[in-house]
Amino acid sequence: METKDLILLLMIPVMLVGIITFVNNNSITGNVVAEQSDNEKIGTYSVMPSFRAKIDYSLQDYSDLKIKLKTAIDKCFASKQQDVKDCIRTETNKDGYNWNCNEKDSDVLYDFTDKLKECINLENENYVCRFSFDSRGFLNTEKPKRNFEIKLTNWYYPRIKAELFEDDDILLGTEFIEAGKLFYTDYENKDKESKNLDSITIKINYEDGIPVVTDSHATFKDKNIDRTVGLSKIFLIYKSKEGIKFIDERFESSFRGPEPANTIIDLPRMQGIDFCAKTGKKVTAYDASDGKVKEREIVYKFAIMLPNPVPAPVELFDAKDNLKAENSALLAWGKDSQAGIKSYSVYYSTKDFIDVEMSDIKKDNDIKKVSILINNPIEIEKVDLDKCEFNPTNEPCKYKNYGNPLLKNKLYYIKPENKFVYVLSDVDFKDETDYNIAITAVNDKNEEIDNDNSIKDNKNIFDIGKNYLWFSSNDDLPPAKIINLKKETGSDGKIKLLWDLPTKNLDGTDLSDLKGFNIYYRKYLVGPFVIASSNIDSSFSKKEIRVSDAGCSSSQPQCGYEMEELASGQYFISVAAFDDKNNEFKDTAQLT
Amino acid sequence: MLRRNKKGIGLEWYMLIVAVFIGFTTFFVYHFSGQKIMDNFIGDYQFSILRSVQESEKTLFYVDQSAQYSLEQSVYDLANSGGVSEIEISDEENFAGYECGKYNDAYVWYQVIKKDGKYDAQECFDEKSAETNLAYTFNRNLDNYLVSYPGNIPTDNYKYEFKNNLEIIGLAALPVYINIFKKEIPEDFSTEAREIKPKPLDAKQLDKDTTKNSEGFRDFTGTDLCAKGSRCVLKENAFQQLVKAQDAAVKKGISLEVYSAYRSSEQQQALWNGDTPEKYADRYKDPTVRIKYVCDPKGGEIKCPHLSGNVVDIRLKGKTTKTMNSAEWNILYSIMTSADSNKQPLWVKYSNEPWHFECCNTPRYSRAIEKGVTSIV
Repeated sequence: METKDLILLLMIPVMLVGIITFVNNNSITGNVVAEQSDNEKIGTYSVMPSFRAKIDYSLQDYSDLKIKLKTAIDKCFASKQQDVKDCIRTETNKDGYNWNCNEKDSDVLYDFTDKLKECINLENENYVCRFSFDSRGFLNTEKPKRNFEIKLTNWYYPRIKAELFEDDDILLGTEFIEAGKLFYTDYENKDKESKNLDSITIKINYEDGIPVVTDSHATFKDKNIDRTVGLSKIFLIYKSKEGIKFIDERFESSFRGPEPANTIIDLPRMQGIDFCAKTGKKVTAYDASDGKVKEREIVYKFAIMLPNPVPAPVELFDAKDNLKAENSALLAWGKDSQAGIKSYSVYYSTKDFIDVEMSDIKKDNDIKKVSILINNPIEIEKVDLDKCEFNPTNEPCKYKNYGNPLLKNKLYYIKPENKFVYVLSDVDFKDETDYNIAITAVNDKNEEIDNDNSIKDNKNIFDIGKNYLWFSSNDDLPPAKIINLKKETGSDGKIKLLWDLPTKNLDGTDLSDLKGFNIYYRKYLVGPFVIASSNIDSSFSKKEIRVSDAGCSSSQPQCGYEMEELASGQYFISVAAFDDKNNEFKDTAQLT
Repeated sequence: MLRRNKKGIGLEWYMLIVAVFIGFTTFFVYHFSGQKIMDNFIGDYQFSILRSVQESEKTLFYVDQSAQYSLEQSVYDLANSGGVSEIEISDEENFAGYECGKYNDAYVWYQVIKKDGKYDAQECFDEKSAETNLAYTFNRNLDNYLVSYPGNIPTDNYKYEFKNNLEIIGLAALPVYINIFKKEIPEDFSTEAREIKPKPLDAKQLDKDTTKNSEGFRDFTGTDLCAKGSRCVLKENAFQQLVKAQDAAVKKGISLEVYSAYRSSEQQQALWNGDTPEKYADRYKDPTVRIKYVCDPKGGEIKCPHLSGNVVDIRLKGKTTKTMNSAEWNILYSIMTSADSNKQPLWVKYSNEPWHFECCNTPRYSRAIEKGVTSIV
């Protein structure tokens, strides 16, 4: 084969590759398909509308911003700042960029919807959420009076559309809330019945930045006729399993009380910070704020949520002895309408823990804890906690003006004084012992004050006279009345008294501290003798014996004592039991 | 012997004249028989094709420019929403919200919680999701441009790829179809808003504009009954029920518009697998969570009724799902559930979605009929 033939031969694959490449690159963009011709159309041309677009921009901005934000959060929480919000704002603005968002009119809407969502997200059912609009000074800058309207409409289940209008027709903002359907309800039927609403309209006037709700009403269909109903203007919203129910204006007062029907909580407490960060990059884009397409700086808008503040320290904490009761105390404190208080925790110990951090208190086995759920406290109109009488015996004593006993481990709400009373009776709580007692309010996330004195200006601490005190209860409960007192005369003529071993205290509780018996006796002078405790007077002689002297125990339930002191003659004899604290019920068993 | 006349013209000449006449007539008859008169010039159809190619180039240019604008707009929009995109209800599946929610209209990136006495900033926003969310935002913006084009460019039609900082490549799944007409149709440059006038359906025209396949499906994409950019396919019976509903709507002076109908199991699988801009599989990696937002095609027609071809997502023409008010949803409901000649409702509504209607013995339709209701969960 000659050289030229060889070259030509080698050229063949090169040409083939060239042809293939040419065919591939020479794009056949479309495809023609002929169709059966009708009057106008003879076929279809099809083309794949793929594309490629490019701009000078990097998604790396998101990572950079996140790192910066996280660093600020960690730093502020690690340094135990009392005002974390302020700290984070300062930290994020340190590099010269302004991350702060300008306040805008639509914040009026988010003020409302954020609180509404907060209520919806509460874990506990049957709360009545109460909230109001915040003052907004920036609304004052353009004109002193601003008229806004918030309109809620059912969007599609379970979403509700919230829109903000100014002067009835200018739409300023829209938000969608997962809240089920819109209902309104009255007091009587709040749990079992509610009416579907078409929409809710709330009108708010801001004058010098101060909000005033001028109207709140709902529209609904009743037999295909549009009707309107007035709603509570102080935004009482009843939370139930099926969603939230706006409260009829006519029944507003019913929802304010009485306890325990409703637990009304205030809801201005959603904690967060919103940021509007800029990195200096620009794009050409449309923005609804001015309705124009132009070159704009990219603004990264995001937020952080901070833990809701723990319930504030309890105030007006006080303790009293639970009268005529053993090993128990009456704890009283002011009722607060803070949002989300699920329970109260009582801590008590014989040692001082006022400066101990809460996390350490919880680890300390010497500090006992009692949790008090605030569900359904027993409401009391009037009670005198200093007076208590047995009527009858074998039942707990009844407090004056209330006419009922205060039962152990129960929570009471004294409405006129707006305070709770709890009867503390814990297994480790003993009479005649000096205790340090503290109380905290606990929210639905089991959070309470930290009592961390290392945080500067920390208000969430124990304070004597507010939520911390020293207390010791008394044992003033005598054993119950002696029963089955009788006499036996022995062959030697001596009198032996017999009676049943008392097993109960006077209030019917088990007797555990029986110490002995007092035997009162006196010669019988004139009769009949009136049975009355006051008759056991100084004219009686008293013989004090111990339980062991009476020869009785849990296995030997009959007590007896031979009265050697008695000479011949007729006697009036009375026996009373007494306990370790010498409590004795004077209304004694008597025998003649 | 032949007799001659006075001028000496013999019979043979007459015969010759007749023969020539017959000959010419025969020639012309034979010559021109079977020939058609051409109403166009040579190459006219080729010009028609070239016009369509030209039209397609315009369309491609429009798509390219739309993509460029959409990308800038999407970068701006996404930053404004903190890199988060929630899947709105105008899409074909359930609303997929952002788990950590918003504070003051801004999506929450961190939730600081207190646990065991210590504060912990829990991350809500994964910056890696920004790309997915950008694709979703981009797709929505692009769709807005595409439905504004005079021709019908398919929407939700792209698989997106990102390259470097920042390039987006949209790979189309369906082509744009451009009709090749015999004659050039003058473009309508009028700036007046297009009138949305309800008109009774022309059965013959509808038959021409739609295609029916061997499996009994009717494709009515591009007709007045189908939203621009959407692909609309229904089972034949369902399509006929839709036509009846449209007739009822026209009597009330309105028109209906389907924006989602039959979905093939491949399409549903793509949704489930995260091969669509919604990227469900990326958003919800756990299938037990994902199933709350998008139905698993394994569930078949019972769980994913759109697979049946007897389901429509529908609205009033000229409206979007967001701009429909409650009165309009009620009108739509009354039209769609109006009774047919058998006194059965044409369609029944899925109670939780005012746009979702089913007919033709889907399990939901049958349950509704059994209970005597026209709206059912």
